[in-house]
Amino acid sequence: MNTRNQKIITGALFTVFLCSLALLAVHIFPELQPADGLSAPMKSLSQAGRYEKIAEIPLGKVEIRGYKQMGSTPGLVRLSPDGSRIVVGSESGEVLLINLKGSLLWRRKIGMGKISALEFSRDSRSIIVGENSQQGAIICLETATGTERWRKASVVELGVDIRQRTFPGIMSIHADGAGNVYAVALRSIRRPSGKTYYFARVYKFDSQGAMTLFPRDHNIDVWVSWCDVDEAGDTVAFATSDYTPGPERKFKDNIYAYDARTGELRWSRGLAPVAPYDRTNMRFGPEISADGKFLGGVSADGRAFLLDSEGKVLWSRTLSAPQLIQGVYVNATGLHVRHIGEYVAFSTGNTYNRANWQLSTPVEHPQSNSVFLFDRDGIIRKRRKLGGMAEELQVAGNYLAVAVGRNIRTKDPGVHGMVVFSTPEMEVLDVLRTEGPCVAVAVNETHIVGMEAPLQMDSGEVIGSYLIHVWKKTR
Amino acid sequence: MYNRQVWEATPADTPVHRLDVRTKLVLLAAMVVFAVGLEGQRPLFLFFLVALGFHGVARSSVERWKVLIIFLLVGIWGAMLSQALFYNQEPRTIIACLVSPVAPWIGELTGGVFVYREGLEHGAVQALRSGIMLACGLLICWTTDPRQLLQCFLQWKMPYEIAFMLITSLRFLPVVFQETAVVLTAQRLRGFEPIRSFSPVRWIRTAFYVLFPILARALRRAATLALSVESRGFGRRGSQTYMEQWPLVERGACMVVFAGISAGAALKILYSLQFNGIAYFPDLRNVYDFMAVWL
Amino acid sequence: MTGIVECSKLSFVYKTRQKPSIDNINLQIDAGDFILCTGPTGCGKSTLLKVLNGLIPHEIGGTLCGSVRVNGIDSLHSSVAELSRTVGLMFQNPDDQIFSTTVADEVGFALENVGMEREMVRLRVAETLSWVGLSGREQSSVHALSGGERQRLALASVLAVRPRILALDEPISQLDPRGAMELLQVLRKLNREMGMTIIVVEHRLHEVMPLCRRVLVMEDGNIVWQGTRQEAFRDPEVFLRLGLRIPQPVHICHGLGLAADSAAVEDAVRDIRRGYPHCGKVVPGEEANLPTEPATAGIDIRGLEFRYDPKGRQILKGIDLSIPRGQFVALMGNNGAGKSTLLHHICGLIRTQSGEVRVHGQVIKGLDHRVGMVMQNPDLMLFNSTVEAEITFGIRHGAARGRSGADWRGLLQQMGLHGMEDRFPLALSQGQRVRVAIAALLACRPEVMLLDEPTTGQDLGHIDDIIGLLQEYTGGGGTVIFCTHDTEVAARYAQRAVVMTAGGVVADAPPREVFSNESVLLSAGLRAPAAMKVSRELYGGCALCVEEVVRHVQQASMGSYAG
Repeated sequence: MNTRNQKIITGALFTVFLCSLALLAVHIFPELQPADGLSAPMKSLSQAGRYEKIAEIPLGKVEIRGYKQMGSTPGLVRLSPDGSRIVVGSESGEVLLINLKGSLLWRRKIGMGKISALEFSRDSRSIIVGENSQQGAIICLETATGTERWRKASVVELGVDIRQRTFPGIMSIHADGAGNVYAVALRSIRRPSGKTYYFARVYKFDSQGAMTLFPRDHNIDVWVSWCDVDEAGDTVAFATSDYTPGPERKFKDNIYAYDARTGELRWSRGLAPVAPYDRTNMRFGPEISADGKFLGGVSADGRAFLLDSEGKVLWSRTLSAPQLIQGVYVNATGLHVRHIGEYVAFSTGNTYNRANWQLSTPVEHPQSNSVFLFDRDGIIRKRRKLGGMAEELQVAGNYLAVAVGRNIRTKDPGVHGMVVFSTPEMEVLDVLRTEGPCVAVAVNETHIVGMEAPLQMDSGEVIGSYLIHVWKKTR
Repeated sequence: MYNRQVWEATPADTPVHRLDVRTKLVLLAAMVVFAVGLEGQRPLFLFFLVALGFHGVARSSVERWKVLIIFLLVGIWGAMLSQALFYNQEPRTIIACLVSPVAPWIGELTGGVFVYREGLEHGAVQALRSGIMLACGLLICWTTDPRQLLQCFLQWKMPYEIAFMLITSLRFLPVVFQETAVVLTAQRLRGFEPIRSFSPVRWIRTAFYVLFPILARALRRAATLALSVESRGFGRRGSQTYMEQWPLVERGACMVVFAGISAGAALKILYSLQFNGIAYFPDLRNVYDFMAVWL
Repeated sequence: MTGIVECSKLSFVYKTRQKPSIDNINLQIDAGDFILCTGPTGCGKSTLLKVLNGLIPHEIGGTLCGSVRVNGIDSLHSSVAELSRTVGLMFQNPDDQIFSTTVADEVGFALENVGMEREMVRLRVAETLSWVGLSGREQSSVHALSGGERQRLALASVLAVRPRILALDEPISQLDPRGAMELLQVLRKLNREMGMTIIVVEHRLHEVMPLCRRVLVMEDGNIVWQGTRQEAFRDPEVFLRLGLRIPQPVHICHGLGLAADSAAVEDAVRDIRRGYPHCGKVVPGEEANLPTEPATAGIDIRGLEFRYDPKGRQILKGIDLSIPRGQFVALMGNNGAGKSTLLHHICGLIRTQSGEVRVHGQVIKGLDHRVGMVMQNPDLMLFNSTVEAEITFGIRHGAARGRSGADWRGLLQQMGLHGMEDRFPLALSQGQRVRVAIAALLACRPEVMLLDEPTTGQDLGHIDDIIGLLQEYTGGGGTVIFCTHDTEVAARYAQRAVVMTAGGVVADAPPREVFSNESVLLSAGLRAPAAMKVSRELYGGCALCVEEVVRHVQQASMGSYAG
């Protein structure tokens, strides 16, 4: 072989090798990829043009789900109350802090736990992270630097069974205007007898990290995944669910309200089930109005409730009623509740087969994937169909933002994105489409942030990416 | 034509060449343990770069880099592609469909052939592992006198027959490669062009044609070498002059490395115990986090 | 008086054979002796050496009968490790013995095995290297040594333990004349100045015999003749009968019915003059060159230049060579002259960088089946399971251009391989393997045949067979170029000799002319055949072979030539 050819071959070999190394490096070290999101051209998918996209930030690897899996890719994104920062919790166990221009300020791995909840403190100085792990810790990070201030392991109260891999996890975190944060922790274990046991607690931490437990001295023996507190920090309330047969439960009611200062139970309310259900389950709720006078709740069977501060049910409405079609009960699950001034918004999710959620349904429930706005008298003011699952509702000022995810019945990817409504008119101000389902949203007066996740279609094609979209309001 | 000196150990004056052979073997063992024990892509990639860096320090020639790169590229892309097609763990994400499940005959037979993202990643991890071991192993072969390796093995009480077998294979494998090239040339001179044919039958035939003369030469050579070293007193009996004193600094460094390996192994065991639900120590949460993030 | 080696009724049968390889050997070797042990292939020479250092029977399986005492030690009851301090054994191919990367490490290996102190090892290594002419090369890489230097290194690695006896199994068979000469000088010094007992097994008798004191000739496992060197010179019949090559001066004397005392040219000339006083007359027309026929284009090389590495040494420097069809050419030169590179260009293994190579008028651009090549190591050319398959391989794969099947059987016959059609080629003796490789190439009937050292390791009879076949081939229009260091073979058989040095052609003429040019031969590390020197001394002639000198002397002595 002549020398010139040899040199060409040598050069080609080295080039291929270095390119292979570079590809591996970029894949293994995503921080090598441009983090400000401005390097790649972004499609502007604002329908009404009210928002301008300013950044897309990739979040690394995530398991790609399809339509056959229950639940979407979990999404955690929050805007700081002072409006200057965005915090994201990724599936790869990272907390990322981003500014409103889309630049990464810091990122921190939390270790072996899985991030399950996230919230800013009301003064924006702290970020509270909840994890699912052997310790089920609530971790307080300093917003400016990402350094850890304190952590509390819920395993002390809830226990752990490492052999069965039933770990305590933080289900949600909330903050009040008095500088306190509240976290719901839960552990469940299914015994060989078929019975499921739950261990749940609500934790309150003040600005110094001092802790109060609700209940004070015993665990909640049913499923609790949500709590809320009024702005003044007087009352903390949570709702319960019980999905599988278990022993005789102590916590038989559906909503419990505690005095957030003293830890005393103020009241509890049971909500009778409706046929064909044998129990009322409330997964995302309740929600207390800022003044503490009203408490909204939504049950999985598709009902919406408004209670007063004493726990009296002011009214109950059926957002979605189970329908028996072709011998199959189909319904749309009740999902979220939000207070918007004098109004209350509720959402419903995908249509499901009551016998087995994995089975298909003959029709799409007409009330599925919708947002309903009621006034406090229980009169429905508006109803909007979203086309896809309302993964998250967030309210800021006169805006209601909805993260729209998969529609498991129509499997239409065209519905994915964020919908911004004006409140209380519920007019669509803008629709910000994403390729993959939008699984989380955060909104304030000037910006909206959405988390997109990839989705595998039935054909095998994967659409969307795991990333954060940052939009700025232009008009 | 074929340059045997690319494959054989050659003396030189570089930091790697100057290292005591025992130090090199301990470092090799350490790299192997790390390569096998580490799960994370990041540390594996960094160790891989370290292994390549050693070749730079040893001032390996361009020809040797070419050999190394060819092996590494075959390993990387071969592992990634094979795992991408045959990955069978969950979750797995299809990123491309090569044969649709509904394709006539082959679709039904295979159930569809897909490229899985997790398979590519798994393949990359395996390739990095084998790449680290390959790069370090070749470094030892290229920078170490086989006789010193033999002495080291004997000093470490390896049975002399096994030690000699190892060293002979290291010493003469390059010769075998060279002779294979000559055999293929001889075949071409007689009208047989094995490489240019795409026929698998021809390739199999070529393999046998190459095997006969190579084996014959190897047998003759092995016999001569064995007789030669036996004639020079190498064998079961007799005292052996051992190697130069192991430099204290290097020995100390090896102790540190050994301690590091032990610590790493202990951490790995700890992490595996908690991962498999056998034992979890809350006070070691920081250690577990470090393992999860970095290793 | 007891000898340093005493063998009594020694026999050995290898495990896998029935017939003894050595049979009833009775031998005594005195300390300080220099023995040449020779004989046809398979006569048991190498087996005898391995018995001396204990490899047989301790490491090589078989049945040994009789007794062997080496330096007073019964070798049957001593280990190889113990005996290795007394008997150093060196083999044919240094590349199969050397396994360190530096010279010092290789020489020190044996010393480490005997547990010598490290500092002593260093001193001993330095001293040993000075004995073999490799002083100061301790840190050299073994790859940087020439073939002759590597063989001397192998010798040093054995000498390091200061054995009393040095046994060498065909030590110069792979070496060029310069390398062989250097090694033999070392052996001479070891024997004459240091009193080391040396036993050499060799076929190249003409180079070794002048050094030795005694000669053993073996055949079929027995010693059929033993005596002093002078006795061997005086009575070379047994050598000639066994096809062994004796020094040409001795052969000439024998041909003239004279008893030679030495192999030296001067002594032979003196003896011949004494016996044939009129041998100095010139016989007209005797050494005329053969008439040249009009040449048709065979191989045409113009301006051929080549480097392996653009920054490296130029291997071929503007070669211009024209070889007509049907010519038998000897290509000669020292190692590194570029002979193999030139052959590779002719057969198309190497593409030309600059210049042109044509075969029968067509430019060679790649492998061309009109040109066949037999490589130096025939083992790597044999890859079929039977001799028949090997010879017909090229025919079956299209290299033969339609040659018929009957021809290959004739080739087998002519190569002395008749009856071996079904044998596994690689299990044959080395000489047989070379002949199979040549036959395989001849079966394809290429237009040009290139051979690299085809006569190495062959006895006289087989050399004649090979050359005869090649001459028949050239008679049929084929062109032969063979590389050789053997000036006697080249002088005898080649029509033309091309001598290369440092990438260039320094001589290109009939052998008579080339071998008369001492300066050319010196620059190429060659020596003129002894027959030519004898003829020059005797009658100012340029004889190419023994027969020419004998014929001349006989004719000159018969009276004036009435031609």
